[in-house]
Amino acid sequence: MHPQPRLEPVLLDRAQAERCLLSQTRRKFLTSAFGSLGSLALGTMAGSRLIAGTPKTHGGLPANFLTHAAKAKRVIHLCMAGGPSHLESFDYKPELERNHGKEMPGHLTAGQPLAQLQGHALKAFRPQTTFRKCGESGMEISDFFPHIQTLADDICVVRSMVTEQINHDPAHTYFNTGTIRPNHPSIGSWLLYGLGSMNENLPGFVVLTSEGGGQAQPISARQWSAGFLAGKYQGVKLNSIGDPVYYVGSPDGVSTPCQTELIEAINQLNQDHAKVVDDPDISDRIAQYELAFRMQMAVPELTDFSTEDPRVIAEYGCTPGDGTFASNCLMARRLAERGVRFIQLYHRGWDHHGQIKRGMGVASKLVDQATTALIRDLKRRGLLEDTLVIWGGEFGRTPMAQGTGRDHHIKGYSMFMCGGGVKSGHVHGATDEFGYNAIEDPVHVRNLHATMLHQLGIHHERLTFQHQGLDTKLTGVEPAKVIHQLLA
Amino acid sequence: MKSCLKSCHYAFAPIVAIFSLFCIGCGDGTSGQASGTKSGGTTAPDAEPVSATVPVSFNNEIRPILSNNCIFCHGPDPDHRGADLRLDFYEDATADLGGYAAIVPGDRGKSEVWRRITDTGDPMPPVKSHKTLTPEEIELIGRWIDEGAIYETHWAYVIPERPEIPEVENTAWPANPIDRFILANLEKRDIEPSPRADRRTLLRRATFDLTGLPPTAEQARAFLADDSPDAYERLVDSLLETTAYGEHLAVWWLDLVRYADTIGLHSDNPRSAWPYRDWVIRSLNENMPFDEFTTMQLAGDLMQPEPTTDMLVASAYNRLALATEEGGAQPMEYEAITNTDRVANFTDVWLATSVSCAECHDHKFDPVTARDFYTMAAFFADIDHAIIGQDRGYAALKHPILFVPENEEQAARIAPVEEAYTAFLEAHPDAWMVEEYLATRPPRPALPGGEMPEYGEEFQKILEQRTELAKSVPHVVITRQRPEPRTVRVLARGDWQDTTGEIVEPAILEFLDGPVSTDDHRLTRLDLAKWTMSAENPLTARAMVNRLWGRYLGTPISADAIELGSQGVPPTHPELLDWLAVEFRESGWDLRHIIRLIVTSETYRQLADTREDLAIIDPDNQKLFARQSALRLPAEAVRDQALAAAGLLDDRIGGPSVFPYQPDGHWEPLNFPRREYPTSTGPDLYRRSLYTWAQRMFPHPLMVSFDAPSRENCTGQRMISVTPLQALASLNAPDFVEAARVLAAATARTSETDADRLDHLFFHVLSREPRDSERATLLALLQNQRQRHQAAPGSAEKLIATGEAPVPTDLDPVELAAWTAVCRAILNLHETVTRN
Repeated sequence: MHPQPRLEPVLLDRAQAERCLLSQTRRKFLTSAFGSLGSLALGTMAGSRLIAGTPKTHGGLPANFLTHAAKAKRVIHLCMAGGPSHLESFDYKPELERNHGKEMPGHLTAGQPLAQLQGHALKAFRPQTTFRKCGESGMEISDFFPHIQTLADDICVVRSMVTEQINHDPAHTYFNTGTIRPNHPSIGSWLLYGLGSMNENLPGFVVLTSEGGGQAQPISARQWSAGFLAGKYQGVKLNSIGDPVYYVGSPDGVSTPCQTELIEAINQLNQDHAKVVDDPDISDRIAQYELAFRMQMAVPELTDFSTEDPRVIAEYGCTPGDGTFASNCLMARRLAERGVRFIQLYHRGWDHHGQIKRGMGVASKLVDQATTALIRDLKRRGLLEDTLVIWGGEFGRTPMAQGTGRDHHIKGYSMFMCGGGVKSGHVHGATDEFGYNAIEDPVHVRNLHATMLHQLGIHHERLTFQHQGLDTKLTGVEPAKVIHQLLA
Repeated sequence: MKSCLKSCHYAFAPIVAIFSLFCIGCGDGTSGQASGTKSGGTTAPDAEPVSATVPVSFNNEIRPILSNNCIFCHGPDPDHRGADLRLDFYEDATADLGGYAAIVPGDRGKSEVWRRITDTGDPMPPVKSHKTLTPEEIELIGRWIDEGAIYETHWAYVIPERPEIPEVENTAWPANPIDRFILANLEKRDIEPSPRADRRTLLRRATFDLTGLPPTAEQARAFLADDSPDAYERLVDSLLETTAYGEHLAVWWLDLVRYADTIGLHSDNPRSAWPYRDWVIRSLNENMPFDEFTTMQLAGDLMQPEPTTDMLVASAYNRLALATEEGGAQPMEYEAITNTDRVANFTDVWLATSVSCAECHDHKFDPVTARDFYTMAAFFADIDHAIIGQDRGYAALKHPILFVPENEEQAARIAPVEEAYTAFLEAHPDAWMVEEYLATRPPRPALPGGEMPEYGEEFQKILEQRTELAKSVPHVVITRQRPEPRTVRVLARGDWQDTTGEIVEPAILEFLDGPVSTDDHRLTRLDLAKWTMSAENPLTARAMVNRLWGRYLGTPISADAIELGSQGVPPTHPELLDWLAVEFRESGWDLRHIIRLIVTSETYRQLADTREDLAIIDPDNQKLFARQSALRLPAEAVRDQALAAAGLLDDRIGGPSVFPYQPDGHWEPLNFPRREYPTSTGPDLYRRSLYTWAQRMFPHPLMVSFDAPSRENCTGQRMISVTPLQALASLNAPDFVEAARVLAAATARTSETDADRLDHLFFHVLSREPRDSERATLLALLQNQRQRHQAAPGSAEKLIATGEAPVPTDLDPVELAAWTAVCRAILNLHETVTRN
């Protein structure tokens, strides 16, 4: 009998616990817990959560990164892919009205990066819609978002977002991973790595996509990759056609009892094999087949909307399962209820280089009501208080015209957050009178990351993973800070 | 730059990291704040204490402590330096700071460092750094100072010399020098190596490791019946001679160089590189010396007297960087991004020292400067290609390309066009600029003389003809030299908009003592290749043998397969690593020789079973190699095995990538243009998985679930995870279900009785008879599944129609469905997907 490792509960974080269990006691699981494993009905075996998929290559473990009580348990990121215009949503700029068609002030634009306006005249472009003051705070929200206007007292708008990447693919990568270097973990993967899953029968990090309102920018699987973290932390895309989760359906002609029997046989054989071969991974594999089976049961239940109240469905304004953003919002609530840690919805429809008025009209119709319904639904069910909802794009759009639209813009744009311990009815930061630069309380993406991790109880500098010799973290190498003014 | 290595007090003492072998606390030597490679961290209760008479080793014990805790602020990067003090080399650390010094060699009491690391009120490292030294680490530093504070060059930057092969007591065990290094280390700790694995295990291990495929039943019978003493060696030799060997090893190389079929960003459109993949397979099968293999990839286009077709195809290596076609992408930014990508890949693959951080700042831990990064990038500045390509017209070819006709008809078709094309390039020295202009999406680079030359229109017609030809004639992106290299500047903080930095020319990382460009000679990629494979380069040989070791034993000798720098992991067996490196170089860079040495060693042949006596000191077999490791097969092998077992595997080598079954909608988020996955038909559905189309932005989900990388960057060693998604894939993916039902049909024809059929099937897949308990479980499954399908009319027919393979009409569907379940069970066993 070998001495047990000294475990200091206070200092032992989840990942360390996992590591210990893996390296020290896996074999005990094998001989004791599985000694009597007879059927899947056995249910969750102790510690199965801790056994799931372990990287075999080396890598550091974070220090004790859980430094304070979490306000949020999960995050729903409503990613408005393509980059919605802040100037037609949350940041009203009458100065653009006054300067419509005139050259932009040189001090704003000189030497600044441009995307498609490279080599073109830079002329101010008036807001393409009206705004109104909403709620008790009187925050201005555009009339493209009549439903979200009614949430003014619930949401926390940031009008001073800043990012570093001016094109879609790298800007999404930057938002999701904190860098444009490939193979870095995305936000959801960091959260699973740090906090684990709350429901092992479903993937802990789920992605859904929808489109409409403008050209649908491509979204790479890199956006939900676990990068250099273990494969079990990767996001799983939930599909509206075919199997909702790849390969979750039994083959044609194989009934549930058939499949159950097969998996039981596999696990029985693996268990027998464990008596002959001393390989700790056998217990892992048995556990994963159990989980796979439970996932096969849980996913159809998840995607069965028949239990939803028709009034709730009407509030979202969708036909459940139709692949729209609204249906995905309803699914997001179901995922949140079931303990999924990070839920990311991409709506690909905000890239309005031309005809922004029409495009915003279409995209906002697809998104406005459903976003509002989701937040109200979460609130009604008591989920909003520990769910952080984040709404926004990978960047904003230029105050300058690109024909009848606007180009990509990174120096100042808007997002909003809701629930999860952030302020409600609050506006943070401001851009200049042209909506170009964030001049008041700028919130860099890495600071948003730090703040989000903070709400989940994580110290952003301590949730690290050693990769190629460096303690790598979501917030990257430049100093990042929690924006406490956003927090309730 | 101050070269720390040249000036430092150098005393390379290859002391085995005795202490670090025992630093396994609960965190397995990685306790977070100083995560990674702590030497002298928590000591396991039963670990032997380090004798105070053994001098402290700078490289194995002190450097990791300094590197993890001190060097970030007291290292090479001037921007983060605290108290203007460097601790990474002797002269600074011992310099007079006005009556005192950070380190006073021989006297910890007089050393400021000692005072501060023991000062509980105002400690170093500071509280806000979240780093703390353990008492053991503090004591080690104290002893090291007392012993003279000897600095050594980081082990990986010292030219490897062939160490003496250690003596061992048990002279009967070693099969070759590798074993003596391993055994000598074990004997010091009174640990026995594990017994040799049984023949069947060795057969499966060697066959999967060398070919990526399972042994056939015939091979298994022949080998198990061969009791000659050199049966195993002959097995290894015969496996090394198969073409499957080159295919399997190619996957490893293609992971390293991030080979894929698409550009990797935004539109993620195709870029034809598969002839390069085939060249890799061919070269590995021919056992091309690694120096030649390297030179052809880095500089095939520059080789004298005239590059051959193969050399040009190999030069596609330089074209594997990620690229974008996104409207609004900024050329200067993507020039910088491409530089980073190329430098990162070259240094990851050949030097195993990351320098990418030096894009923005001097390296914090290794003596790599920002200038080094850009001088390295300058080697690649002569490569002609469109920085921002376009998905239409000539640009869609991702110029420049080389046609590689497959037959005479194709050769005849391209001949006149290629002749005209070449003639144009020769007649008009600036035609390449027109070509680059046309291949780039606006904003475009300059035209010669600022406008389209007179011949432009005619030339464009020829380019259009090439574009047309490329639709039906295979081609590959290649490296072609620009007459004028692009300007490379040092970018302050990596800011591509800053055009004020120093213009640099190619040079080897300064601290490694390589050549630099002179007025007479600007170094080329050929010079880079020559230096890389020269005896002056301490890294490449080590990098290669280190990761080969990891490939066959589970963990490299220095555990990070792409990082040998000071933040990497000290090697567990430094002499073995050096011996292998020198052996590799002196063998004429003979890859197969090194692989054969490893695979025929007794170390490799040990049993993989975990051992009670190793459970504390080396639970994951990363330190002693006193056993083998049981490793889940790589993604490709998991699928290929199922296809092989079913007899479906198509063994053609090479050719355009193929499109096996993929879930509907997987490519739905792609755009510009939108794409339908063009599922293959017939034999292409059953090609080895290395031929599966590699779509970087949406890799095949089956491959991803078994940890295959996206090929967006260098992968030196894949992770091995166990996840429920993996189980779902091998249970339910049509590839596996089809293989199972085809295997079931074959099984049904082997014999008359269920038990005989089962035995046959089991041996066919696993090279052994089932045990009684296994037989009982599987026969019960068979019986139950028969009843279930019997009771559900039509269900069997549905199951056995999975996939495109013909459904046998002479077999009872229920029978076939029931056996399909048995086959699915066997293909999903841990034993089946594991090489132990």
